[in-house]
Amino acid sequence: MVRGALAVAGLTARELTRQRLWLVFVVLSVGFLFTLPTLQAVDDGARLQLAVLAITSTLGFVGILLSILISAQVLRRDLDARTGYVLFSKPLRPITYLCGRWLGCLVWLLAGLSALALAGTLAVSWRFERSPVMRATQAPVAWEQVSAIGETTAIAATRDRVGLSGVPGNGLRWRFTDLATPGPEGAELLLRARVTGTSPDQPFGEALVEVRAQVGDRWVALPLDPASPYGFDRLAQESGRLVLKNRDNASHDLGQDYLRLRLLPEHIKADGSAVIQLTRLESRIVIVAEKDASALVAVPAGGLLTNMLRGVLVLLAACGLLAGVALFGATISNLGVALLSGLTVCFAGSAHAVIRDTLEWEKPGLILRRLLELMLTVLPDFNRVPVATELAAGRAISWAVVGHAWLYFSVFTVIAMGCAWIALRRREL
Amino acid sequence: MTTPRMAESMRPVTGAGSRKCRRHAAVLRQRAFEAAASGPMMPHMADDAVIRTKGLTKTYTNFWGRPRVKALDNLTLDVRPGEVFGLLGPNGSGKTTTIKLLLGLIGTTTGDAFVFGRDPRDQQVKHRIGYLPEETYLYKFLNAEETLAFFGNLFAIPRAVLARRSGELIEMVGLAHARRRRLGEYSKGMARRLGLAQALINDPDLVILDEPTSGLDPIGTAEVKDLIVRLKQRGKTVLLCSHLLADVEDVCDRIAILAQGTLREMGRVDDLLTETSRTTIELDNPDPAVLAAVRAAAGSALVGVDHPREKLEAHFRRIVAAGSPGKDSKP
Repeated sequence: MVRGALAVAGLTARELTRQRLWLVFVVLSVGFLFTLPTLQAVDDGARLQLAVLAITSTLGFVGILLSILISAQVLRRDLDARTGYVLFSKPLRPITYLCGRWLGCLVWLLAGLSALALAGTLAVSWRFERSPVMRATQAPVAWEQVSAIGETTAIAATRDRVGLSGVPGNGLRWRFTDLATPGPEGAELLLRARVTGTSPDQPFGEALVEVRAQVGDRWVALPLDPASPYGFDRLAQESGRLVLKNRDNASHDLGQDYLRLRLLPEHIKADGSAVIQLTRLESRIVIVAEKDASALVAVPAGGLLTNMLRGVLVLLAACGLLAGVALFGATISNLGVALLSGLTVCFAGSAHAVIRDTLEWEKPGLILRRLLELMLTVLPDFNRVPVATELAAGRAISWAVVGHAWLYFSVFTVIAMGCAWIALRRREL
Repeated sequence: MTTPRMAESMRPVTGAGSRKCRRHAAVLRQRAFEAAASGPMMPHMADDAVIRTKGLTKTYTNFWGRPRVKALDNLTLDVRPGEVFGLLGPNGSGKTTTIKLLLGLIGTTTGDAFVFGRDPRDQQVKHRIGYLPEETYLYKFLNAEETLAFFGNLFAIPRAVLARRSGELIEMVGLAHARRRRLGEYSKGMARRLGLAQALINDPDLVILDEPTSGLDPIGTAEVKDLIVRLKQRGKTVLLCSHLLADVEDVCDRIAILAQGTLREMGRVDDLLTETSRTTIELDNPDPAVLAAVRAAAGSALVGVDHPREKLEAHFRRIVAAGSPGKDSKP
């Protein structure tokens, strides 16, 4: 069975290559070279971010479209051109054939998307003369609120954001565990929060804060990273304070939106834990922090190409599911229906956020609510691992994320391939 | 009960060579087969039959499962090891449906089909079958070597064996000069030859050939017929399906004739075609007096006197082989 599947996979890859579908990747690669410099943004950093977003979005778009198109096409051609007569007169089981076709499509896509990722990375390096730094981040395992007189209060697990207002001197304390021992330069502590005035007519956009790490029984101020995008203020620095600028939920670029501090080896305890405290210093300012996004410990995690290739693997997991759906569609109907079925699953699976918003805000009737809840349960969520936005934000794609994506989409893929197998078994050639 | 074997052994029972008698003999044969085909048990059938069908019926249905067309009706036949069996019939007679059923490509509506004593969908059975479809349904983006390598891999043939056999088959079907050319650039005849090669890549015990000479020139046709004979000599069983009756006549041991999905006639080719009630006398440069004497002696039983004709195929092959068309190359 394995040899048969590999033979069919090889045939598929050869078929797609000789159809010159790789020209799509060549054209897009050339397109990157010419279009990336024309992107407009407020500064170089934002333009670089936009370029990465454009490349990764293109990878996703092309991957999804091609996975549906090629898998449906190769199967339909066998059935329509009656090549299936010869194929299935050989000792080739339907499941072997389907697995071979699926595998061949994915291997070919992997090669094409990897080449496109490489071309995109080279285009970025060439046109911007630098690559974005990719960081692996770690969120705190616990957080507490600290009052102005130093009392700590645990924050309920259900709360995902906390606002600091009132008497200055209050703040937040985050606990990190399992931190790897950093090199002499230390790791990075990234901070981000919403900063507003106490009333709408006080449009403050920044706040003076202190950020300290617990070292033994002392609290030591963390030094500001010289490459931090903001936080510098001569007066503030002289007094050991930092300027925290307002960043809303949409601003989550690790390179642009986070205040960056050095977390040195002495700030991390022997057991790999660290406690960080942010203290609010101005009474007229309200600071709103989020549970998993306001304080992060970050370490460099490979270059853009490495992470983009891991992103391709994540994308491929989703493509595998769509290929399975398209194979099923092609088995039971014609090419048009097969393409439509793949695209429908793709669009429906990309609408999870909209469905959740509808359920939360629109208060639909009981039947519609049940229907939407059912959709959330049975439809795959294609935004579960938003590769494009993660990479554009400078977040590394870890192997754990790749594994998670494959595990998640594999369940749906197996179902789709199972349906295709049953349909092909029942089909009369 | 009359069995097919009994029917096969039937001869024209009337003498005197009249057309009426010949028609009568044909009717008797037909009745015998109808009776045999509808019989529930076939005790005479050899247990080692390579192909055996019993009351095989196939009705194609529409999307809702309602019967659309009955392509095959109550087909009962057996093909014995080492014989070349011809399946004849006009378009729509059920030949291809029979082959599809024997290959397990479609399911039966009623009745049974066995190949090597097993269900045709059994993967072990498929290891022993080579199939050439009526059209060359191969991948046009592959070349000859890649095509044979692909199909060989489906049989899990060891690579060294596959490489050797692939080379031999390409040589055998006369495509050595085009082994690296893609099938899209092949003529119909060349593609047909490659189709034949892929059917033999697994050195099958049963070769099913659906219109094997379709698209081939007379030389190719003759080569295919030679190949079929060689396969028979090697003990292979061949199921041959063709519209070209001359081809079937030349190579088949037994034939079955299908029409409108039903078996109309089955038996040995010689038995079916030999008119024992008629006699041909061939004379070499006869004296006119001898001819006159023969005419007189035959009287009203004489049907005709004519010169024998060479078969066009043999003539064509001889002319091409001689390499000098126009010259008198008669032996």
